[in-house]
Amino acid sequence: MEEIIRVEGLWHVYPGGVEALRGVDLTIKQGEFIAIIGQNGSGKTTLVKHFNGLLKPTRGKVYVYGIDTTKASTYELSRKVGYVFQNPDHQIYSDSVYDEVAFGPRNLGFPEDEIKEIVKHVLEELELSEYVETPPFMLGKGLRQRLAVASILAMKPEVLVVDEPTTGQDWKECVKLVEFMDRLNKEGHTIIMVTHNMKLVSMFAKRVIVMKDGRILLDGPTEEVMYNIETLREAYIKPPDVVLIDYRLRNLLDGKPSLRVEDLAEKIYQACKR
Amino acid sequence: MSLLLEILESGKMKSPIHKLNPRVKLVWWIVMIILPILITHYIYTIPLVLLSWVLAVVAKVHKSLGRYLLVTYPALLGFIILTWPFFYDKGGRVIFTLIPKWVPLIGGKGAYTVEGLIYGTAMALRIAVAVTASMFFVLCTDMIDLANCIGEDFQRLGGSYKYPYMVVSSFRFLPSFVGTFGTIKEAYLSRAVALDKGGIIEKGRKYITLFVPLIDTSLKSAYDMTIAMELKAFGAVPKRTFYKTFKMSAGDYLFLAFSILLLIAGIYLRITGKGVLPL
Repeated sequence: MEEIIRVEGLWHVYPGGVEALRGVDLTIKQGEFIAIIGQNGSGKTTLVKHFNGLLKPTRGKVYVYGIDTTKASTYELSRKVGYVFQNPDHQIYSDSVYDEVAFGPRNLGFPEDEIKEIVKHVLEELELSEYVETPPFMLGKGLRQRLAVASILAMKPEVLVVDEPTTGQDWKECVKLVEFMDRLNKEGHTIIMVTHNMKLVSMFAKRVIVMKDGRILLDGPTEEVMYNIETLREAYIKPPDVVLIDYRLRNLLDGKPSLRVEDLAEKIYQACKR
Repeated sequence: MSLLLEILESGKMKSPIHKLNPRVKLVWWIVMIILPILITHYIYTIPLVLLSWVLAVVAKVHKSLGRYLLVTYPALLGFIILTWPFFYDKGGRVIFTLIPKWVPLIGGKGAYTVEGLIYGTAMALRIAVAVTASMFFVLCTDMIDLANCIGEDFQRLGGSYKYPYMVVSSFRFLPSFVGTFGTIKEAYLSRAVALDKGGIIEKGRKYITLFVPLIDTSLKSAYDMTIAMELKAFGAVPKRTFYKTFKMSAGDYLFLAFSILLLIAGIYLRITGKGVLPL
């Protein structure tokens, strides 16, 4: 897989002296589905804001598709990396869903015919077609969050960074949104999701990065990271119950660690049969 | 936006001036606004400007004061010195005229005289007294403390504490308002809005769009805050106590006496005519 983001010895110090990142090294490859987890203030959002140039390194380097982010503007990088903010209300501007989704592609200079096609496709994908003429502020929180994702996707980025997409949403909306990102991932997009929702992480992410105090504490495949319970405890992270049960029963169960209830149930069933 | 936040943060610093009762600093500021109205002579206004700078050094805000006034002084004072002499109509030694003498009917109008220049400079210095003192006051006073003080006094005089509380809340709201503006700006940059590209009008047009989500989120926050305050029984009793009360110390009385003395001196200079520029 092609390497698309490379972070080398990244430090970020905010005005006032807060060291948010302290020497982060990382590579991200095309087509990965990554979850970045960690307690509040661990540096997750600061890290991902470097991927589209919203923040520039204090020290170290960030390369996105080989471009040094210090030498490119967010405007240029937004063609490659789409960033969905936690609060959709921070980006809603237009008075109809259609115009909201078309806003980004228009900024990028896409022809109006193409914009029409893109908006139609994206709204269908995110099940928002029936709201095309609705003022965005009239939509519910879940729909506004989906609209925020739609408006970024319309810019056709290859990488999608989603910062805490499920905050304040019910489980149905959360799953719907992450399932959509999973579908995008299967189509070849790289997904980077910052979240506290461990259940969603275990269900969808292929790779997990755990951050603590501005450093990467763990980085690896989801099963490997989730079953590193002692280290996760250091970062005040509690894995999902399914992982904890499997971990407790590890002497009785065979096979690789489970991340889904169905897998664990099957393993317990097999163990009981024996 | 962040400049405003910086100025508000400066009021929370620690220094002998910052420690003074906000009421006393308010009196000093009012005196420094009245003095340049009473006094026009530069031999008195120059020391008054310097006084604010000396106090700024004591308060350790002189660097910030310098930074903010670096733009204000040349722009505002330069404008006054350049334009004011044209409105000076008492004649004098002409340096140049705006309209050359050979122009029929209006030739020789708009004379820029030495006396006009002195008058303009004196006027600029009067403005400088007020501007420097105002900036110094803002940099050395915690606005929330000041609003609380006024609230306390307002209640003592029989008024409702709700109105000063409104002012306090708006100051408390400001950092989150600035933070939200920053996030909205980032969200727009992420959607390929090149905010810093283009001419002034184009930039202005782009920035105006930021205010749509800003107003929306601010209204929502204000509404949430109202509900939160009501849930905590705000307004249930006609009078309330204050967590922080501001007592007068010896230093406060000294500073207050100094301010009153300055005012008396100003009135004296005005009445005797010594403080008025003889032009």
